Amino acid sequence: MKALGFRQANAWLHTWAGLLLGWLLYAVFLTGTLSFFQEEITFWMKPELHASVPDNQTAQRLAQAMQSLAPNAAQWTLTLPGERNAGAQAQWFDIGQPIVKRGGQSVALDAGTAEPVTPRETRGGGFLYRFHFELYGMPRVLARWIVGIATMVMLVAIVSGVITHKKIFKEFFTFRPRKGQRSWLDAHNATAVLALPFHLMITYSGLLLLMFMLMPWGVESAYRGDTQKFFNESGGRGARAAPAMGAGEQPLGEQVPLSDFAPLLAQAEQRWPRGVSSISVTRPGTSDAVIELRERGGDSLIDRGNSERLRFDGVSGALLNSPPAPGISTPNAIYNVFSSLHLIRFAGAPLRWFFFISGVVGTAMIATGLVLWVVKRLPERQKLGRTPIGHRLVEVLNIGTVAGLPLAIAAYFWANRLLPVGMTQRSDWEIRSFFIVWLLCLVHPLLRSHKRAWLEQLWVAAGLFAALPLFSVGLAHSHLLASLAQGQWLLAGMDLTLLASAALLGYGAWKLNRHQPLHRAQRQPRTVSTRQESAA
Amino acid sequence: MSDALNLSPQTTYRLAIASRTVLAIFGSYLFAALAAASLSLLLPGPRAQAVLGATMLAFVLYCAMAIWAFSAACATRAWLVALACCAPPALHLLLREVMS
Repeated sequence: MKALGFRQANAWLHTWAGLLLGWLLYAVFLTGTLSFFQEEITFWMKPELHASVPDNQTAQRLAQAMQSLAPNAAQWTLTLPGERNAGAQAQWFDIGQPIVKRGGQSVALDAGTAEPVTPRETRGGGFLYRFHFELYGMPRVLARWIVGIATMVMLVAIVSGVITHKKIFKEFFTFRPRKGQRSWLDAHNATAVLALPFHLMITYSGLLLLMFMLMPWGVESAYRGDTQKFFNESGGRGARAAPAMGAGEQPLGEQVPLSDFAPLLAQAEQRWPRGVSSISVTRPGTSDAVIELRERGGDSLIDRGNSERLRFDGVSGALLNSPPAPGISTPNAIYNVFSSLHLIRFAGAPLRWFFFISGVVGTAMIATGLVLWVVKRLPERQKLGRTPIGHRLVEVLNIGTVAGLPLAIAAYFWANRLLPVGMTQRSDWEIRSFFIVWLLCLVHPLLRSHKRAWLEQLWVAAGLFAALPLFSVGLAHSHLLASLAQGQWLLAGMDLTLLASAALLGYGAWKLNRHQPLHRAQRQPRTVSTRQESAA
Repeated sequence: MSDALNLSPQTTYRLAIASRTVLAIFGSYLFAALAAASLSLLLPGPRAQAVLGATMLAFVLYCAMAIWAFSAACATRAWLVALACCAPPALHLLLREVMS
C-alpha cells in the first residue's frame, strides 16, 4: 500500500467499496428509479380503475357525489385525478370519529361517473418505493441504517472514482467495443460520467433525507437531543403545520347547503396553472363549513415544492385568509432543494422521465462496475488455472442481482395480474412472489454454468416483461392500442416502458449469446489493470 | 514500526489495510460527528440553521476523511492527520462541557 500513489489508492478504494455494497446499491438504485413513477405503477396495477377517464367536470361531479356518499361526515377530502393517476380517492371522517392520517373511511371513485370502484388489493409502486430505503421484513431503523451506510459508501465510491479517472471527460469519449475488459471499463466510465451530476445529487440528497438518523450529533449538541424542539425551530421537516382545520366534534345542527364548487374551482384554476389536486371540506352542512383547495405541485424547489392552499367560507364561498408562507434561510433552502430533487414530487412528465433515464443509467453504471470486477480478473484466473471460490461467489451474486432483480420485479407485476382478486392477504402474496422469484434467481446460477445462467435469466426476464402488455390486452380497459389511440399516456407509458425493458434485457441476452471469449487470443492488457491488480 | 515487530511484508500490508479501513469507517464517522456537534454551536445564524448546515457539511467531511484514509502515504500518517483534525472540535466540545 505504501507504494501506491494518490490515484492508485483511490482506484483500490473504489474497487473494494464498490464491490462490497454494489449488489445492495444496485437494488436500491433500480427500485428507487422505478419509484420516480410509483404512482403511475400503482395505477397500472389497479386495472379496475382504468375505465376512469377524467374530464373538466370531474372535480365538481365528485364534490357533489360526496354529499350522498358521506352524509354524516365531519370532514372529507377528495384527491382529484391528475396526470399521474386517473382515479379519484375520497376519504372522510364521520362525526365523533378521531381524525388521523390513515383513519376514517376511504373509497376509490371513477372520475367519469363518480361511482365507487373497488380496486384489487395491492401495494403497487409503494412496495418498490419502500424497499429502496427500508428493504423488507426487518426493523425500519435497521434497514434505514443499512441503506444509509451503503449510500455513504456510494458517495465515497463516486468521489474516489472521479479522482481515479481524472481524465474522466476525455475517457467519456472513449469507447472500445469488443475489447473485453476495456469495453466494460469504458461502459462503466461512460455511464458514470453521463449522469455524474445526477449520481452525486441523488446520493448526497439520499443521505440528507436520512441525516437526522445517521448524524444526530448536531441536534444532540445544540439542542441537548431535543429533536422536536429542533424541528419546530427549523420549520422544516417534521415541523407540523397546525392542523389545517379543527376536528368536528359538535353534532349537526340544521343542514346548511354547501356553496357551489364551480366558481371556487374556477378561481383556483386561474391562479394555479397545474390546477387543483384536492378538495377538503370541514363541517359540511353547518354554517361554519370551510372549503380548502390545494394546488397540484408547487414550482419552487426552495420550499420543497410546497403547494399553496386556498380557503373559502363553505356557505358563502368567500375567500378566507390563508396561512402565510414561512421565510426560508440558506441552509434550509439547500436542504429543501436537495430533498425535493430526490423526491421530485414537483416535477412534470419531462423532468420525471429525465430522472428516470438518469436512474437507469446509474443502475447500469453499478451493473457494469460489478461485471467489470469479474472480467478484470479473468487473466488472473487463467494464470491460476482454476476459479477461486470468491470469484465464483461474485459471479453468482452478479447474475442473481443484476438479472435476477428485474426478473423478480416482472414476477411481482405478474402476480398482480394473476392472483385472484378476492384472495386473502393478496398484496402480501404479490410481495412474496417477488422474493420467492428473486431467491430462485440467486440459487439458479449455482446450478448452471456462468454464461448459461446469465442467458437464461436475461431471456426469462425479457419474456416476462414483453408478455405483460400482451396480457393487459385481455383486460377490459387496459388495451395498449386503445390507450395509445385515446392518448391515455399514463397507461400506454407503462406498457411501452415494459416493452422497452424487455427489449433491453433481450438485447443483453442476444449480445451475450453471440459473444466469443477473446481473452486468450488478445494480448494481455498491461496498463491500468496490472497496476490495479497488484494493488487489489 | 513493522521492522521492530519483525513482521512479514504480507502481514504488514494487511495490517495497514485493516488499520486504514477502521480509520475510514469509524474514524471518519467520529470526525464527522465531532465536527457536526461543534459546528452546530459555532456557525452563525439561528441555532436550527446552524445545526442543519453543520449536519449537511458532516457528510462531505466524512467522505473526504474516508478518501484520505486510503490515500495518505502511510497508515500512521493517515491516523495522525485524522487525530489532528478531530482535536479542535473535540476540545471545543470538552471546554463547553467544563464551562457549563
